[in-house]
Amino acid sequence: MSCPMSICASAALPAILLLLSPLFGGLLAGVDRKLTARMQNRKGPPLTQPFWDIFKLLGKQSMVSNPAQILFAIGYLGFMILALGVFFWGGDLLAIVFLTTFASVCLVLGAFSVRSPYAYIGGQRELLQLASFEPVLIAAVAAIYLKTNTFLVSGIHGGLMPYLIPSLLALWMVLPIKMRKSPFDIATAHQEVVKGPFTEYSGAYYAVILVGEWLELLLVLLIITLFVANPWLKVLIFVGSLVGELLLDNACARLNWKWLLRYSWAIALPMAVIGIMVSSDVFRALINALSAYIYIGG
Amino acid sequence: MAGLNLIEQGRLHSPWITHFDTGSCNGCDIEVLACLTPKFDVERFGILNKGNPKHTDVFLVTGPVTKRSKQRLINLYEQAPGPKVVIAIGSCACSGGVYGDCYNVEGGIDQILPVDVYIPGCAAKPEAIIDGVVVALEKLKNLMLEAKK
Repeated sequence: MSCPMSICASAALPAILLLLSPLFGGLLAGVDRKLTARMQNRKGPPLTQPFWDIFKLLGKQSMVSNPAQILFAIGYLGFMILALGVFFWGGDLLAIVFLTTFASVCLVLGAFSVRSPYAYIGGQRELLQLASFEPVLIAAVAAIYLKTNTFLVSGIHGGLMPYLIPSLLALWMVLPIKMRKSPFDIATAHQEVVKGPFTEYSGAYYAVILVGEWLELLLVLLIITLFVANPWLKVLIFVGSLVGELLLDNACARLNWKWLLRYSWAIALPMAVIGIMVSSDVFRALINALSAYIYIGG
Repeated sequence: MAGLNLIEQGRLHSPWITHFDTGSCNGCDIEVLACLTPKFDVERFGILNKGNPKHTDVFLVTGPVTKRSKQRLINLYEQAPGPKVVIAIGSCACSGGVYGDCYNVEGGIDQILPVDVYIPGCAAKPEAIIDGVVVALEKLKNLMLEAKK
């Protein structure tokens, strides 16, 4: 789950982790559905349910609206796998952010390539989610860089706390946007725009999209584990983020896109900017100078 | 589940439903939705209400087919990728029911689509609907086993 950085230098372990990631991502999705059911006082499906869904979808007739759709479905999964691979090999955090952006853009283009109004509205909303999530993620990565002087995942030794607490808070704030969960499940809003960008995918191509979603969830939670050093704390923050997110999902109704932008740009983004300021040397030098001035003045 | 591969077992473990009302009085529709509530919780069998014909495995149709809804029913059915199952819920969907002779009614669902399972009742109880889906899956399983022989 958490990637021990010292062993990551060897080539075999990242490859094994990458191969196991769909398995782990599927189990995460199963835990998601089971916990959601328990929170609603239901029994819920077995943990292996997401895998049955995938097997069934692989055996369904695939109705494709146009060939571009196939390209974008595979592009979404492909960029997600690349991003996860870069993470496991200890690569560049900035590259990971851009690869996940490419993946989301594939989703949007796939939605725009068909004529269904539901997919179209879903695609536009997905763009809004992207515009809400990405600046915060990039600001968090910038804060990590200012603290550690490297963008490499393998270069992050030890915990990044406590200077990065504002960045972590900002990431937690935008987590429901990335996971497409209430109160910000506006792109895939069920009962409203059917399934948003996923509406027109069927059969095996929908299975591809679902696996991409699992990997996306796994990757975001793994990035959050970078903020702490202790392996047990990593597990705790991983599970805690997921459970907290599900609690929020079950406690909230859906907000509209205006609230999404207000929330992410007026609360989460400033928080991320504070994260950058707190972790920069310039800011600390300023504080030191100020305190020295006050000390001398007093 | 001997003799079935993973894909075929997946079909039995993960039937996603779409529910369509062709002109029902809403009695059966309420009972369909009742199946999804915590009391009956059909998600424990992997059943999800998708409301999207492209993700549908099981079509739950309620109500007599009116002349107005006939083409929509056919459109939705044709948009669903196979293999798919059609279940007629309630007396009206099975035969037209008390509306069978109305000037604007075509009759039961089986006048338009090939129906796999009939669930009678006015309105059909949630237990009967769950039983109907189980029977449909049993039928699908037997079909898949027979195809192997």
